[in-house]
This record gives sequence, C-alpha cells and structure tokens, in this order.
Amino acid sequence: MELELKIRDNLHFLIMEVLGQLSATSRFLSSFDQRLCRKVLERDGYIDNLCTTLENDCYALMFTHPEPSHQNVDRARATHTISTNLKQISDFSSNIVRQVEYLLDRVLWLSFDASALFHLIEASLEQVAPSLEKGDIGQALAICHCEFEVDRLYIENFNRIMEELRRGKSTESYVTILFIFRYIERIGDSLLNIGEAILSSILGERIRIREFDALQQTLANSKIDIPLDHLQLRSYWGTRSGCNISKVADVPSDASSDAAHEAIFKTGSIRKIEKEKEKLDAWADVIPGLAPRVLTFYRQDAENGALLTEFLPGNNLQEIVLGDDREMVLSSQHALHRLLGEQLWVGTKKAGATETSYMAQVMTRLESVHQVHSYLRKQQTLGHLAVDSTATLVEKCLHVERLLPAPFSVFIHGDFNANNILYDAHRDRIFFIDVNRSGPADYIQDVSVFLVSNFRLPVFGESLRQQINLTIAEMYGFARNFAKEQNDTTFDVRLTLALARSLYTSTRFQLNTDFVKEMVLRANFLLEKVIHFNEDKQNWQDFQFPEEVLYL
Amino acid sequence: MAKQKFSYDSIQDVSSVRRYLKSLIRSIDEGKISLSSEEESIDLKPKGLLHFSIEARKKGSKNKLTLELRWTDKKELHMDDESKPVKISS
Repeated sequence: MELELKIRDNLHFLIMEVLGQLSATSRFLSSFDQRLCRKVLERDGYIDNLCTTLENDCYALMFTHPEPSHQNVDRARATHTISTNLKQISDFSSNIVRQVEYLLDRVLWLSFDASALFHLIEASLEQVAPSLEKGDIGQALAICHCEFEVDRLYIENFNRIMEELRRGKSTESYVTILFIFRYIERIGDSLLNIGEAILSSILGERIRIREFDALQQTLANSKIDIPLDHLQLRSYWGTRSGCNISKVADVPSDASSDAAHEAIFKTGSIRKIEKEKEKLDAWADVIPGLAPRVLTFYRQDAENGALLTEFLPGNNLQEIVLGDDREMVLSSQHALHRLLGEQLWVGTKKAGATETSYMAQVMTRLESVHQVHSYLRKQQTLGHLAVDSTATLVEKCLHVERLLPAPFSVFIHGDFNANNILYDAHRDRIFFIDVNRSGPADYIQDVSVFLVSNFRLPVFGESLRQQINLTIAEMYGFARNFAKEQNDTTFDVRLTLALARSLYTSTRFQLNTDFVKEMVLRANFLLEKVIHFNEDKQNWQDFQFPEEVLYL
Repeated sequence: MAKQKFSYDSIQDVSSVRRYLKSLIRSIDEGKISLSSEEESIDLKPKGLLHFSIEARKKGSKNKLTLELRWTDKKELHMDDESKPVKISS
C-alpha cells in the first residue's frame, strides 16, 4: 500500500512540474523573459529524476510486490507509460524554448497564436490524475481527443507557414516557427499516449483510441447495451491473422444483476474484416448458429473496419483433448461427427469433380518452411537408388493430384484446427470460429487439418498422447466411414496428399526440432508411397492410406 | 585427413524398406557403394576382410536393429612381378 501511495504522490508531483514547465514555456513565447527560459531548462533535471523514481517504483510494484492485484498492475503499467510521456512533454518544452534564439523576427512570431494550443494541452494534463484515480473513461477519452484538436490547430499554422515560405521572405524565422509548432504537435502525440494508457488501465486491456472509437460505434449500432463504466475488455487470442481480437463484457458493478453480456470485438484492415463478415453471413445461411452471429459491422474509414460478433460458449477441442475429462473428449468428438456426417457434409454436398490443391499449397510454402527448419530432404543417391528431394516429391505428386479430383464438394471450415472448434458440454453442441477460409471444397482438407492439429501438439506423456491418439482415431474412422457411404473411392490417396501438406506446413509453427524432423519424415514417407504406387501403374482405388502415420 | 560423411534419414514401412536394403546388397555385390547428395558424396569399396556386426535392442515398445560394416582400405601393393621377363632393348 505504501508503494502505491508513493507512486500516486510522485505522479502528482510530476504532473505539477510538467504543467509548470508548459506554462513557463507558453509565457516565455509571448514575453521573451529569459528568467522563464531558464526556469524551463533548469526543471528538466528534476523532472528526469522524478520520472526515474516513478519508473523504478512501477517496476517494483509489478514484479517484486508479493501479491499485486490485477488492478494495481494495470495502474502501475499505465503510470509508467504516463510518466515516460510526461518526460517527453518536458523535453519538447525545453526544445521549444531553445528554438527562440533562432527566432530573428520576434514580431512575426507574435502574429501566431500558440497560446490556444498550450491552454488546450494544460487543461488536458490537469485531467490525467483524476481520470486515472476515478477510472473515468469519459475524462480519459477527452484527453485522447485533445490530440485531434492539437493536430487541427497545427495544420492551420502549418499551412500558413508554408504559404509564407513560398513567398520567400523571412525564411529563417518561418522555419523556426514551424519547428516550434512541430514540437507542440508532438506534445499532442504524447498526450494521446497518456489518454490511451489511462483507458487501457480502466478497461483492463491495451487499447488504442481508434479501436476504442470503433468499439463505441459498433456497440452503439448493436443491440448490446453496455454502459461505458461497465465495460471490460480482455484480449481474446491476442492478434490473429492481422486482426486485433478482444472479448467485450458488460461487468455490472452490482454482482447480483443479470448475467454479463459478452461479445467478440475485432478490428483490422477493412479487407479482412469484410471477408470475415462475408464468411460469417455465409455460415448463417448454411447452418444458423454454428458460427458466431454478426452483431455489428462498422467501417471506420477506407482502410479499417471493426466487427462485433456473438461470443460463443464452450471449450475448444484442443483444450478438451489436453484436459483430463476423457468422457468429454469422446462426447465432443461424437457431437462433431454428428454435425459433419448428418448435417453439414450431407446438407452441402454438391456432386461434381472438385479440384484440390494440396501440393500446390505446399509448393508455395516450402520456402518458408525451409527458412525455419533445414530438414527438408535434398536429392540423394544411395547406390543404385535415387532418392527424391522434398521439392521433387511434391512436384511429382502435384501431377498425381491433378488426376484425382474429389468426387464432390461440401462447405468446409477451411482452417479446421482443433482450437477453432468449440464444444458446449451443457448443450452438447459444436460451434465453429475463425471461419475466414470457409467455402466449398474437398471435405478431406478439413479432416487432414484436424488430424494434424492434434498430432502436432507437442505433448509426449503417455496418457495425454493416448487421448490425442484416440481423438485422431475417432476422426479418421468417422471420415473413412463417410467416404465409404459416399462411395468416395479415392479417399485414401487424397487423404495421403492432404495429410502430407498439413504435416509440412505445420512445421513452421514448431520449435521442437526432433518433432519437426519426425513430421517432415512422415510427410516424405507419404509422398514416396504415392509416387511408388503411381510408378507401378496400379489402380488408385486400391491405394491404402498408411494409418500408422497418424499416431505417435 | 578430411573426414567424409554422408547421412540419410527416412521413415519406411516394411515393404518400402526392402528397396533400400536391396539396393545396398546390389552395390556390395558390385564392390562399390556410391552415396551422394547435393553437397556431400562418398564412395565406399567394401573389399577383403569386413567387420560385420549386428546389434539388437528392445526397450519397452521401442526397438532398434543396427547393422554395421567396417573395413580398412588397403593400399595397393606394387610388388615386382617376377614372372615377367625383364626386357632390355637397345
């Protein structure tokens, strides 16, 4: 508690000091009283020291305090960011007063109005301590938005200076004036950082003002009504495929109130956000409720967008397979098989040759796999036997694959990793998330990605591995039966190619080198099998998928 | 003396591993085993006396069978062939 009080007091002192420096800077710029200039420059050392003390105390609170509360850590982190930015504001003030000696035409300077900018900045700085202490989102937002106003005023002055410069008179003074405004504009940037730090500490998650504005807009457009002071934000998978994903929750201060509203909030490039929306809408047509419902889509500007979607309950299948509830492993698998076999695959099946591109996908990724690991095989000869390099294996199989299109397509998930499938044990229901790559394709693609997403889990203890093997065997058995029912006679060879693809490409995400080597060797083995079978000119319906490769 | 090395690592099944073993036997019959890859290559000529050992291990469910061939290349001995008559010509 003592440390927290010390941090709070020192932050107050620091803010007072920086406010004093800003006011002295502003007054110096209108009076040219050298005492004010000295005051600004002399305070710099003291501010530096105070900032260092605060930094040390914040680190101490975060890392050496016996049991810092979540809230205190959030606040210490914010205080650290705030003090660093206050220090920058102080440096910018010093830089501004140093510019004055180059200001040959001071009368010219007085025709500009910098005091409005200083008033704006000082008024915002005065809000910092109260908004941090009271957790006032409104005040924090006001601090952030001050930067927009500072920018606007800067641009006005900038345009005027440019115009004067083009006339070619008093060039030196105008350049100096431009420098002064530029430093003031950078003070605005520091203020924005401070506002965002306060916002992040209140919401419990790092957020930028652009994202927050988008969140407010999206919430306002949706039916979810979360008052700002109930809003809690937690990073949900962090960043994925270039989008920032958070879970938004309404946490009423009164615990007895209704259950919290929850939603998933994503921001990112408009292209990705729009694509995600399009896929979610497509799923809503295929099987309503299987993928999250889109609550609101919001286009921030030409480049950025935001999406608020339903938050789906349950655990993902990766968590389940790594958990200790064997019953749930089986019940989740069975629910998944029912969904695929009775609804999704049969419901969306479209007969007709469906080309696959497993080998083409490996080709495009071989380079990036090779950058991470050097296990890809090179061309070798062993006596009379020529051994193909991985690249040659893939190329030969590419030709085979073209002869073996899938006999039908279904609507596939497209990134069927175990952690993109949720299971709600209470309702015995499956949900899909992260559906950006969904579309009609060979069902074997989803099967192989699912199998390898389990296989590649770097877990080698016997009982967990058994559970993983069980999951794999269940899915393989199910898919095999489905193929049989559908009279899919090239299931084995297509699964072999698709599995090799998933094994090769998975190695990019693995650091355990022995395991990576094992996966590459298994993938090589699969492709060699296909090539030898092809060389012997046998009937593809007789090709047998070597099931042993699925298990460790 | 510079060491030459070659290594090959793979996963096979019982039927596919035969191709490799057969190829090795054929090379041994011919007296020369050439092993090469893009950056390493080595020619071995098994000849004369060979150390041949087999080691087998079983630990739980893990099995290992090591076949080893070792030999030392002999320098070619250039002995004067006495049966050949010495020819002196003027």
